[in-house]
Amino acid sequence: MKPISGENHPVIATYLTGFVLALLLTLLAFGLVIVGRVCSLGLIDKALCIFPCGEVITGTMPRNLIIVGVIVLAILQISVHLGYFLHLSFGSPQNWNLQAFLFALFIIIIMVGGTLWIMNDLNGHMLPGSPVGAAYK
Amino acid sequence: MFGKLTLQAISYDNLIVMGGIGLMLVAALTLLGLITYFHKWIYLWNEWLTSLDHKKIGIMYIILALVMLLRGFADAVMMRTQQALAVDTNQGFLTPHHYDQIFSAHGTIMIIFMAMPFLTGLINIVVPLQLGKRDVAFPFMNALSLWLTVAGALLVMVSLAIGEFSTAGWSGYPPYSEIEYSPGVGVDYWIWALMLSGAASTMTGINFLVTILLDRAPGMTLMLMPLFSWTALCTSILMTMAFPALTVVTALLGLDRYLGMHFFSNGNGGNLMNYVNLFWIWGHPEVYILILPAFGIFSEVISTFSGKRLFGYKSLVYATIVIALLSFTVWLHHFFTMGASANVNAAFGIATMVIAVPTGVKIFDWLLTMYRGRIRFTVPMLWALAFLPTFAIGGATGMLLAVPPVDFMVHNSEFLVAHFHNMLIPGAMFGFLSGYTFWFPKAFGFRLDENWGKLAFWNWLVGFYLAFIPLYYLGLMGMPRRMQHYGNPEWQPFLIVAALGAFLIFIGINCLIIQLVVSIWKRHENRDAIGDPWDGRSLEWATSSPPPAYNFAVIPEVRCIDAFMDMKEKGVAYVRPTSYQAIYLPRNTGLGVIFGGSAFVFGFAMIWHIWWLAMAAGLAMLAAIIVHSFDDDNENCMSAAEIKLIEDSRFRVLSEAKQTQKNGTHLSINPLVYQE
Repeated sequence: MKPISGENHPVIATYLTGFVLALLLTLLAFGLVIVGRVCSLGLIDKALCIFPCGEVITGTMPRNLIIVGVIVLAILQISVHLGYFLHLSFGSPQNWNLQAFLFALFIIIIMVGGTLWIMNDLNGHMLPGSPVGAAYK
Repeated sequence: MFGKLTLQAISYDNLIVMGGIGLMLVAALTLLGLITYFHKWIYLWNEWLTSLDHKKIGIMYIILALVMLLRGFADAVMMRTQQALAVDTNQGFLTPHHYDQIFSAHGTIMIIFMAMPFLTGLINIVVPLQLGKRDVAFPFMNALSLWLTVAGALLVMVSLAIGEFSTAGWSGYPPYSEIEYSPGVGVDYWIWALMLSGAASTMTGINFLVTILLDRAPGMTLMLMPLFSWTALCTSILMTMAFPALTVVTALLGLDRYLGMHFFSNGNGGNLMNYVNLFWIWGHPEVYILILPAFGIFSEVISTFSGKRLFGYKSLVYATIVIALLSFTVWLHHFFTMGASANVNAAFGIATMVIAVPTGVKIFDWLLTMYRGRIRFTVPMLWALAFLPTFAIGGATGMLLAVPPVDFMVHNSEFLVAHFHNMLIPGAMFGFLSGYTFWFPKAFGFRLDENWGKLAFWNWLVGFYLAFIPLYYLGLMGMPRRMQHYGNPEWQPFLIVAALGAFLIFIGINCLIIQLVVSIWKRHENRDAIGDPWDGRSLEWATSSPPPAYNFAVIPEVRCIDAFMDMKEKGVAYVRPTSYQAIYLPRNTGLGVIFGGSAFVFGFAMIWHIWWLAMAAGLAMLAAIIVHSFDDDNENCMSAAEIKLIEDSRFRVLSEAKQTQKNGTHLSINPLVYQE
């Protein structure tokens, strides 16, 4: 085995930055859910809420914002992992990495897209008012 | 202290279970006694259990697969016997609860703990040799995969003695597998066995993906790789991409069961249909994970024993890639009847039918490889020849099932059971047995006995047709699958024929065991002195049998497909190199065994809710990984002088073989095979 050369070897600072970012994004995701939930229960005064969950209390925009927020944070989290831990870059020496990543993306799109398509279609066939159907609406 | 575990967990009153446990214990104690008697413990630990050598890991995988084949087949025989008897007033000899455990265990074992270790073992032994490499990319991770798989298999075996196994079928659909309906530990055994071996398979996939893509013998571009390596590459991609879905879905089901969550429950926002969806996102690629390596084996075997280059090598490669990609787009055909609308069903039905195109391309390529070849009917070739028509029948019934309206008629019936056994027995099992016979001399240095091999083959083949063709008919007559008892006496004759078929396969399996014993007994007669027993074509035959730890003293250069055949034709196959260089090899480590052992204890503790033990075992797993990651000095150096010593003795054997050989064009032609 060849020793890993110094210049290509990522410094520890990269890992630490990645770690802090990953931690922050995790906390944010949890925070979003907790704050949203607490607000929706009306336990905290409106003024204490960081996120625009004044609307949560009134009930006009409850879950959607939280769900979208969590998804955005998840994608950011993935990018942090890819960038800081797996050192994926779009430069030419990383050709294999990029190809593998694009292939993985393609498969993920098939899996996630297919699941959404199938589950939404099945959902449309549920009895009105059934608990399973309601959860997706 | 011991969670849910009490003495009642052992079912003393069940004679069949106790008999099984007794047999297992006797076999295990005999084995342990023999090892102790011959003082082999230190040898076993130093040379095998701690080894990171890909060939030895591969052999251990295959031993696991063969042991689990016996267990899975015992289940099959019990089911066939039960169904041959249990009509009308006769209840047979298995209670419904016991029967349900048996079919669940049979499926889980045959797919996860027989077929997966078998193919992983073959890939381990052969792929680095075919690519002219000295090891896999991550040798330690390879050992982790092996020992995690062993841990999972042990959990399934232990479930026989302590507690029970799942009764929810090998696919474990909720809500039945949820805690309200399956409060016992059976489903938990199933979940943890799948979690451990699933993680192992993901790691194997990553390992071989990197091994194959990263570097190969000089000159070997991707389009010069032997076909088995190509199928191993595509299988690795499938493993890497598909197995996480299984891990996620079993983990979510576990969260439902352990922490009272509601991912797949009936109420509180759970949706059991998403379980089915996620399970088959893994489940369908899994079918191709099993079948693609067998396709690779058939390609090598047919080409070798026809004495010809593969016909349409490129089309075979592209067909493999297309099958691998398409296998991600068809999973809904496992649940056509769940209620999706016609458009969804049609899309997945068409995608399913499209897979037949690349598979058909392969069949024609194999046929045309044989066309005008000098075919030698050796045991590996017999398996390959039987595969072609048998698999085509299975494929044709698959086309029927791909039509959603037909699927509505026969789903969940014996027709389906017949169909997937008709794909997986010729498509996977025949391939693995072919590869086992084909590469056995490479791994051990002597050939398997031909006569017992042929006897095994004929019993398997006839047994297969007798056991499964009647099931097609029964399915069309309306017999559902998984029946412990039935009321229609018209079905019984067919089920008796199927039981007879299972009995023939039982004889076939016994022939395989006798073959192994006889071959070891007569190993000096069947010795493969030069390392090329079949007049082989790819690089694994260029080194000695068994290969030295470093595989190749000097890595051969590759100029075309069938690199070794090319070397033999040019007369450069056995040229002694002028000098040798030192070689670095991974050093043995016991951490793999420790990790696997802890994983087994962890799984067992989680199943029985013994939390303190689970924590301790989890920490031990973590510790093993941390200790290994801080071990920088993990390679051994073999000096050039040591290598010269080994290589000199090899060339002595080669020159002796050359002198004893009377006539023949290649040094390598096997006299036994050519006399026919």
